[in-house]
Amino acid sequence: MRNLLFQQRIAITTFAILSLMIVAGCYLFSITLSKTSFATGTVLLISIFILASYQLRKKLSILLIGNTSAWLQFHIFLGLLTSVVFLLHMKMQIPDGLFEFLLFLNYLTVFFSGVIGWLLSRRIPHRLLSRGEEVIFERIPLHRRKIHDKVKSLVLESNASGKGAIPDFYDEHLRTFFEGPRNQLRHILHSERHRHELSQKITALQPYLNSQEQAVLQQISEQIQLKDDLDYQYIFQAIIKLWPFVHVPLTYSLIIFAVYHTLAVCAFASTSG
Amino acid sequence: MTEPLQPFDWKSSNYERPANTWVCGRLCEEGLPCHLGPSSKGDCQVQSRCEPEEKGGKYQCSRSILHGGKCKAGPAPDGTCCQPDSSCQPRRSLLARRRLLGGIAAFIAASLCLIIFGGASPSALLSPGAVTASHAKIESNCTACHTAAEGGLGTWIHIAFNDETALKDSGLCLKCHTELGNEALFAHGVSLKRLAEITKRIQTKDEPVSTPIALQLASLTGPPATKDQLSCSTCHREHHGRKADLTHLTDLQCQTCHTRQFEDFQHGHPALGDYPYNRRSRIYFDHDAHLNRYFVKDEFKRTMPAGVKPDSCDSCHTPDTSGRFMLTGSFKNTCASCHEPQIEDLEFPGVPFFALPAISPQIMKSQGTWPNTTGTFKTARLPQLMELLLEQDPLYQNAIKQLGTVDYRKLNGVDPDQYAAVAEIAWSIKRLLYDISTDGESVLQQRLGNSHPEYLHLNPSLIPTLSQAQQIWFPNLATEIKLHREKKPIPATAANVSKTQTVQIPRDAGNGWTLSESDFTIRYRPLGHADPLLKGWLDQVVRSQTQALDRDPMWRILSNPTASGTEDTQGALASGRCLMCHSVDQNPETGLSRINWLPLPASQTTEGFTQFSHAPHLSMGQYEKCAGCHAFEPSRPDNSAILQQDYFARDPANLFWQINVDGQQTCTSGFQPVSHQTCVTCHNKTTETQSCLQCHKYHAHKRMEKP
Repeated sequence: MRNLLFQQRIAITTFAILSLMIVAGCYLFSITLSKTSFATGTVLLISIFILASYQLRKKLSILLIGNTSAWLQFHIFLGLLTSVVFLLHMKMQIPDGLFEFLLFLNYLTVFFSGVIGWLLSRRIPHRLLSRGEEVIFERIPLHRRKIHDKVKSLVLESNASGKGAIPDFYDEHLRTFFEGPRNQLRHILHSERHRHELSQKITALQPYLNSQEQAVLQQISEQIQLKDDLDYQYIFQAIIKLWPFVHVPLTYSLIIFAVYHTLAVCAFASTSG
Repeated sequence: MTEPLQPFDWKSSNYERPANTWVCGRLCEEGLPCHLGPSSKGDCQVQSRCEPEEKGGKYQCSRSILHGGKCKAGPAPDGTCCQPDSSCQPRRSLLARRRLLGGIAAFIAASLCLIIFGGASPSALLSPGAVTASHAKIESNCTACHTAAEGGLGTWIHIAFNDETALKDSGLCLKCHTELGNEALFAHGVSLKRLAEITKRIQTKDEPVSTPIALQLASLTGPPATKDQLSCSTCHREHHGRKADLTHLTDLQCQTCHTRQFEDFQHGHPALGDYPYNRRSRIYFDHDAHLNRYFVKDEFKRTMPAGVKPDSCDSCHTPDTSGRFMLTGSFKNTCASCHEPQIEDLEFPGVPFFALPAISPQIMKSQGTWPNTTGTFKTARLPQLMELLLEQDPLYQNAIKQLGTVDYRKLNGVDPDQYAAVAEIAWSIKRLLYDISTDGESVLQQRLGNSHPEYLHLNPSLIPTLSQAQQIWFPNLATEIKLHREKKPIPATAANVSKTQTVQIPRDAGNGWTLSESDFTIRYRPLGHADPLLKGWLDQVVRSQTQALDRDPMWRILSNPTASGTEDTQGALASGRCLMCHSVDQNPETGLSRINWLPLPASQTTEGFTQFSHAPHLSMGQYEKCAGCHAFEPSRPDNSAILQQDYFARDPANLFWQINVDGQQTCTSGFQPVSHQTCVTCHNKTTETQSCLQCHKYHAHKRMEKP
């Protein structure tokens, strides 16, 4: 933990120093009447290519060019650093031209989706550890099915006497719950209201059940807990899986826009900068 | 205690392949994936049903071992498979979906770019922003400023890798901005040679300077190469909105190329030197003498009873409409009350243009009329115009040759054997007068050729006066000329001259020509200030002659700032002559001179690195008085003499005054140079009015200025 804090401090200090150096370099460059936009633009374009190459690095795992974790850290660091260069490139102004505005929006979306993804990837693993069992995201439907089957068998077992209190309860309150992922927003908001509601209903039912049924209901309660934890795992893993759906595709469009922008700038920028 | 959901042992845990494009559809729908999974093409590989084979009239199950082997129930009697269809519709994996989305995003972006970039010329969508208001009219026409706009994407790619593009585009700027001159793309719009001169001059100064740390560090990145051409966009960046300031530069940016760099105007700016007196004033005016000597109350009343004394500086100087220049009032409003009588100097006999030398009747015996027989001739030579007109007359030249050295004051004293030569001179003069009387201006053109255009088309013209002189002095000249050409004796009757006919053309006729019978001369007396004939003659001379102006007799008369008006009389400097006040500047390169008729130049011919606007300073309370900045030199008895040296010099023999034609010499006109400290009292860090561009212009090229 101590080591992690130290690393964070080093990273923050390095980021601050590099940012200052970039700002100072840009200022000094502007003094010489050089086109700072060209300089910052070039740095930005190269940075975008390097950042995008992280995706490539993940695919080419056979290449021994640093581990993925180090690449991720570098990706985050460089990504944050591009924001400084981007602000200098924009001269702190929103562009007027349509194409440049598109590029501007594209960059912002990619940047902020990246930042959000970074923050989520920092926060969500802790939350995932706090509840339920660690499961592979792709297997969650399978586990859900397994739980559901277990509950269904318990319900059938309880129906052997033919009274049908638990099956009715299942049909009324539990079937929908077990059929798929539920209460996603509540999980995101860290709310457990739905569980309390179900617990209250189960408590209210218990006085009307015999001991055998109560034992079955107890087992169903355990499955409810298991399913709720699985839902919790599902929604947070889904969030981690889904934010790159914004970040990655828009990176491709950003690269295309940036390349065309560079071409236009080099051909036309003799009167601007 | 519930069992863990996810077993990880090798037997019960499936191997997940999230990187595959397809995943089992039943996993997604029901949570019941098959062990086989979909194919790489997205097909379900589970084949519970088979095509039963007929063998011996009975159908047999043909399901392979891979798909579960032969089923127990076997096919139906009609040959159909008994198993339900358990295949699924595989779904794309998350990774595949992300990849697909990436492809779609890239496709949309590329399509959009092709729409924007794909045309034959750039789309308006490509514009990075509005141009400044001054360029708004050409905003829609990209080709007006960009060579790249002349073609499509291919051209842009080619141009993007061409280093010359910026300079080519700057050439387009200069198509409209012609006022920037031919050297516009060089630093400061001046030639490299001139720039090197200025740099050398600055480098030789010994003033200590402290280069700001920012500039020291910036120099590591390399300032623009001032030896090369600079594109307009080095300083002017467009497409930053209608209200963008195209000319804004910081002080550090201004200094980045400079040899001497300093903190700001308040700290480290070089002393202003002789500013603003980097050259003498165009009109010779001794402020010190006028204000401290001539305008002294009682003395002024005594010497100039009709004179009007100025109350303050603004009696003579007022700012122009731009507020930049302080204009000097007109001659009529400022100088005339004292100096008009001096110009109209009644004692000035006028400038001689034509004269008859005195020749005794003994020499002119049988030679016809010669009116000036008893008078005296005051100069050794004839008036210059006469000499020039007689230059092409072979008979005259022959006579001169015979006489040797000719002194027209002593023509009557020649030896008798030279009488014929003197008579021939007289005939040459008579022929000249006759020719002019009969043929007018064309004779002047014929005789002068192209060598002395200043005497052609004089305004007012000399011809009528010469004709009049001929009628008065030589009434029978036509007859005399005819007889002389026929080499016949001239009868005495033809030589009679009416002594009673004496004519003096009055000046009131609006013509400055005077015909004097007392000394048989035709002179020109200026009509007043800005006399058209003298102004025209002087302008012609300085325009056409590059050397030895001082050797020109006529120039010596007209340029001589004395009141004499003759070649031989060299007096002290005196007001009233043109060139006493109007200085003459000679261009050291061409040798041609120019008379400064106006206090400010009609066109500025030197670089203007500095601009100063008087009007805002005049409105400042503290410096309302001009003397706040323009202080007189400490009073010394030789101040006037020092100033005088800037305009006039004694000839090498120290006999007479010559015009000093060096206009570029530093001359303070009696004032102390403006002190840098005086400026700093207002232009400092506190007031934030000390930027370079406050006083300096980048485009210092020679340009037309209309004050």
